[in-house]
Amino acid sequence: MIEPSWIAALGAILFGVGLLGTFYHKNAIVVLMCIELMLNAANLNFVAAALHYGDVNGWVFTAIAIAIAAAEVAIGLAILLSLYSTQGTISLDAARELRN
Amino acid sequence: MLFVIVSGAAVAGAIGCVFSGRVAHSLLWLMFTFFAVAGAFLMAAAEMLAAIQILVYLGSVMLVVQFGVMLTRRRIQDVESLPTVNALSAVSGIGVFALILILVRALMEHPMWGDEAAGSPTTLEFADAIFNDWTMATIILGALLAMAMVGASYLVRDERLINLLWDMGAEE
Repeated sequence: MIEPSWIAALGAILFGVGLLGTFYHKNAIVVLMCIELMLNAANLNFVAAALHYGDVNGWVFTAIAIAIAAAEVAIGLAILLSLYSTQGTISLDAARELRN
Repeated sequence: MLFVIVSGAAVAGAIGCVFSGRVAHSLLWLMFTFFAVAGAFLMAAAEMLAAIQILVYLGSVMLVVQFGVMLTRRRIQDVESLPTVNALSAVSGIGVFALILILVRALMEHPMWGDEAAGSPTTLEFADAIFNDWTMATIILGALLAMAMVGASYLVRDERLINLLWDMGAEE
């Protein structure tokens, strides 16, 4: 069996890379994908804690986080599509107004 | 050893996702990363979560994102999708790298790993926890998902006059 701390370290690295992506990109879809990456890193931490303590609640939180991520992607893409149809672009620099 | 390979694949996929020039390539790298994370779940004896990860993330969520990329593809696949590179982004890159180092060090040396690992829970316990201990949370999660889907379809509605007229049964 592998050490739980290694899984947590993998989660930390993935979180950092996702954070870097949200800093570097202007394209809203790529930023959304990097946020997904950070959510997955959090899930890895839950799984590591569940493995260490033998507690199933970490798995439950992971399942809940995955379901919420699905809802977040649906809403985020709907917002981006509506932004694209009104502004003609999804660059985050161009989106400055909440109403037109 | 196997875990080193899997986590190396996950990190490589994540870096490819951040630094590739096209949105579709980023998406493929991200799917690769999610596969590797599912492998890490498997190694933590969380088979059920690995299945959920592949079925929900790779099967539906990433497909929906791909669909969104195709619907908005005219502009976003050229200059706009390249990562910005200037002095500020270099500084933030160094900062994030330092943050990763600090996080990994703090996580690996945390005193909670000191005592013996208790081992992984079973899928039966997982089902029992979801449907007995967390029943209300599961129901609320279902309501949240339904609300999110209704909200998403409301946001992407098309209000052009021709569609409204067609909706009311007008002839061409």
